[in-house]
Amino acid sequence: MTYADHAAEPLRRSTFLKLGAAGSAALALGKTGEFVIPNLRKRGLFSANGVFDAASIALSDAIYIEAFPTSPLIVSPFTDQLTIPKALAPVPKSIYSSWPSPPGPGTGQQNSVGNEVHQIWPSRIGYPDPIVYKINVQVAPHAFTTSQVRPIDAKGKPTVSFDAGGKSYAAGIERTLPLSTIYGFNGTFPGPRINAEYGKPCLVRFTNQLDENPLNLDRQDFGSPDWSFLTHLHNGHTAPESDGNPHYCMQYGPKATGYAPSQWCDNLYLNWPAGGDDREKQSFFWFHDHRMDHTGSNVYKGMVGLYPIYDPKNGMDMGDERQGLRLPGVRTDNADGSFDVAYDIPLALFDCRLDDGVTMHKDIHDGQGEFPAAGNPRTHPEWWGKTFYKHFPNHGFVGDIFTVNGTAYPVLHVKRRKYRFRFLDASVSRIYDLKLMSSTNGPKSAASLGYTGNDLQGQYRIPDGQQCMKWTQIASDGGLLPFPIPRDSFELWPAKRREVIVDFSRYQDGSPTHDGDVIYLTNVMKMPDGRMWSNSSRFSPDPNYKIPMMAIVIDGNDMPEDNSVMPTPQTKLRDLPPLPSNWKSLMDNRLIFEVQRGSGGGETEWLINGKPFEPTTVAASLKNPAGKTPLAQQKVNSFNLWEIRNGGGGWVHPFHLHMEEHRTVMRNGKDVSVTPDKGHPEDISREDLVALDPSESVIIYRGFRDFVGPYVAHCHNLAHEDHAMMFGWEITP
Amino acid sequence: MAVDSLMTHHPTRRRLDVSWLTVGLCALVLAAADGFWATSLRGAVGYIEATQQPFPDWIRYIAVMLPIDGAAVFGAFWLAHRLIARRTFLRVAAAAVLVVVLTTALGGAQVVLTSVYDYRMQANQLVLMHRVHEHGNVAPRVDQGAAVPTVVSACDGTCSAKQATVAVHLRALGLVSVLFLVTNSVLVLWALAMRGGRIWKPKGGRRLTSAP
Repeated sequence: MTYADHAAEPLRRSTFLKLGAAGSAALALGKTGEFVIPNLRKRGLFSANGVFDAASIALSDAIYIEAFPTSPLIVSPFTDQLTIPKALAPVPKSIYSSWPSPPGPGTGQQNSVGNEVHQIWPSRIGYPDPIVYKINVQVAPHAFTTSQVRPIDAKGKPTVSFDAGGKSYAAGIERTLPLSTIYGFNGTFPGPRINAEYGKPCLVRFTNQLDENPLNLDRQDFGSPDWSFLTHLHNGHTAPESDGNPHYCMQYGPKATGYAPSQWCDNLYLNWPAGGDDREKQSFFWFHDHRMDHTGSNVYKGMVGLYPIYDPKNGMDMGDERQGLRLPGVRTDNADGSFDVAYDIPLALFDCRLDDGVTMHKDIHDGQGEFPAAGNPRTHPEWWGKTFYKHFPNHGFVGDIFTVNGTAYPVLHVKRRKYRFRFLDASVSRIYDLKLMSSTNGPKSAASLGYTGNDLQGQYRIPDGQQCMKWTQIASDGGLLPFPIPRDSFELWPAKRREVIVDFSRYQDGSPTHDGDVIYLTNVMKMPDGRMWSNSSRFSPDPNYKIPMMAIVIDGNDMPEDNSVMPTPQTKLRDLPPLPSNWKSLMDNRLIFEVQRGSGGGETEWLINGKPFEPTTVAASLKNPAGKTPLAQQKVNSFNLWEIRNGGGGWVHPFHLHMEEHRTVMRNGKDVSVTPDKGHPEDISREDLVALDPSESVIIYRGFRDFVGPYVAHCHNLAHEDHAMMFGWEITP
Repeated sequence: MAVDSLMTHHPTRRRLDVSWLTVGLCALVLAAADGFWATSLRGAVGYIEATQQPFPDWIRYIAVMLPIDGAAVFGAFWLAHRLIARRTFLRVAAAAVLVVVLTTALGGAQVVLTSVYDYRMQANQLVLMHRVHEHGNVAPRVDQGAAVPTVVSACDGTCSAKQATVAVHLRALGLVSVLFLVTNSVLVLWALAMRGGRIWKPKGGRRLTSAP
């Protein structure tokens, strides 16, 4: 080609190329704007750093490859009755007085090591001696369902299954699930329910019996490998020796990760509000394992107990709907000193996965020799149908079977009256978004609807589900709200509690319910992995993702006696402790903690302020606006502002601070102390978990009252907590 | 310009009248794109304290790599010029391929260096973690009579954690190499198109030229 040839058509060719390039760039930018930006907004990642976080997530997905089993399909859901634990009976004084080491205020009486004393015995605050309970931590079998199951694969197709002897069963054969092995409080899951009352302290003697395995149950490859435990009453206002936190127990008491087999400890729960302030009273605790590095595996293995706490002062909230706030509840005082409350039901949500026998068990903990009998890495066909766990999942751990109070897809029969539900998320990582729905055609299995892979999570859907009732939320982590909040749905993050009242006599449109009507407790938050949601009510609802977790069936057409009163949004429940008028003057000297993804292939994936949890060290703040990096030490009976930041990476974090409730005063730089953020209406209440959306920053105001000593703060995504996303802090005299 | 002058006056070499605008555009888009992947990759597998502010990291990456990528682009053009005498489509294609290969190699080298640094920091942290969370003082228990495989791995504890970290970095390197290659190929073609296919200045100062 000669220059003359070029000269004949120089502009046309180069112009064509330029126009093509410019057009393709414009097209690419346009498509980016159309698809990528909404996606980033939905996930809270639409920022200069967020774009990189989103790309990091995508790369992580490609680099960290993990396989999880698909649980067999429960063929007959909503047939097993919901388990409602009865109140645990206390131990009579005549019995515990005769124990070789009876509980008491003396030195050496707090644990079997004999090196601790209760910091405040009830008599010091004018309270009676504690009611004593005995809970043994035991190995036991547990059934999540009595239904037959159909083994399916990730495509929802029938697949082979196995038995404990290694025999295989052809695809399509329905099976009875083997019992899973749990470590349970008194050998049950959930464990016992202690109904407590303010002003009446409880002392629980937790005894480790995990070395006893009379049924010779296969312990599989999770649960603390040394069979130790450490129990935390979440979030009791409790002295360090009874708090069950690793910052304490690695330095004092057992001076180990937990209490070993045959050891015991007495956790003293004073049932005393922080500072003796009635406004600090809470209403629903739970106790769970907190053993360093294995909290997730121990909780997943069953170490969960319930601890509703009532307030008898002026009959305000004492489980008697004829008194005080007249919240639903009919109280029966038992001869053994305990009491039960009808129509007041704790609901512990928990997701699990069952082994398919063909998924490789391969985990960083295997390399540490923690489960030598398992012989990992390998598959375990002999564990088919039993709970499957991964300690160190790079994308977090979520189950594909949803359970309530230890039963998968249970049914609850209710009368046409008001109920109080106390919701607890006892899951490792999963967040729920809950609605009450009705369905004409009822649940269909996700497999039968053609879903595959992560879309099989939850197993069932109600494609025609419609919201039929509203919640009236009356309490959050920190107890009764100042005023009730009517809600269509609410989010439940790991370890959080939400209490609601539901009137089952009528639907939200005012029409009456009838005998046999079925209402489904429905999860509408799609969370394919442990990182965060992909769809939820708050961001981009997926109209097809409606997972029925529990069927609620109306029994009878009559209206039984109901002395409770549905509180209106104007009904005052419990005042908030006031914020000091000068709280903003504390801002410059606040303590700042940033939770971060550590990005290691080993055990350091989760960090705070760039550091892994060091159990004997008090953490230091990031540099605050005053230019200081103070240690996380607070004088007893002081108050301060702490800032918790989500360091990004496209993860959400339920960040938990032990010992006292806090108030959220700022979220993302905005004052929410009077008007809460739309997405976080409970910011106007007291809580012990900070719900951190991606890249969020939250400033809280809290006190450090009554006790001194070491405590912890940590992410309550238990996979994060177990892998170093925790820090020690302390209260000094 | 010094290079240009040198070539212009060398009696045995052909004159290299490169379009500096093309060099600059190529270098800028390649540094920006490779920097995006490298920074994001660090967020996925890198050492945490180095990954908290990805956007400023990306700007720094561009600042460092822009002159290096610029030199690589110029080098690729020069090499194509040396290898193929005539201004043909082949010479443009060769130049484009060379740019992609050189900048991908440079980006990969940068990621390797970063990964080595990050691995060293992560390994130190693993040692610290192992010391703090020493599992040796809480020896795993097994039930009496339970069969325990007798084959014990020579690499456990910190060793296996380090191995896992190395494996992650290697997988990441493989992935980012592919991403660099694909991205750079697309962007070089796009940049050349944006310049109307112009790599070299017109001979003797005459206006033009586009790709044949």
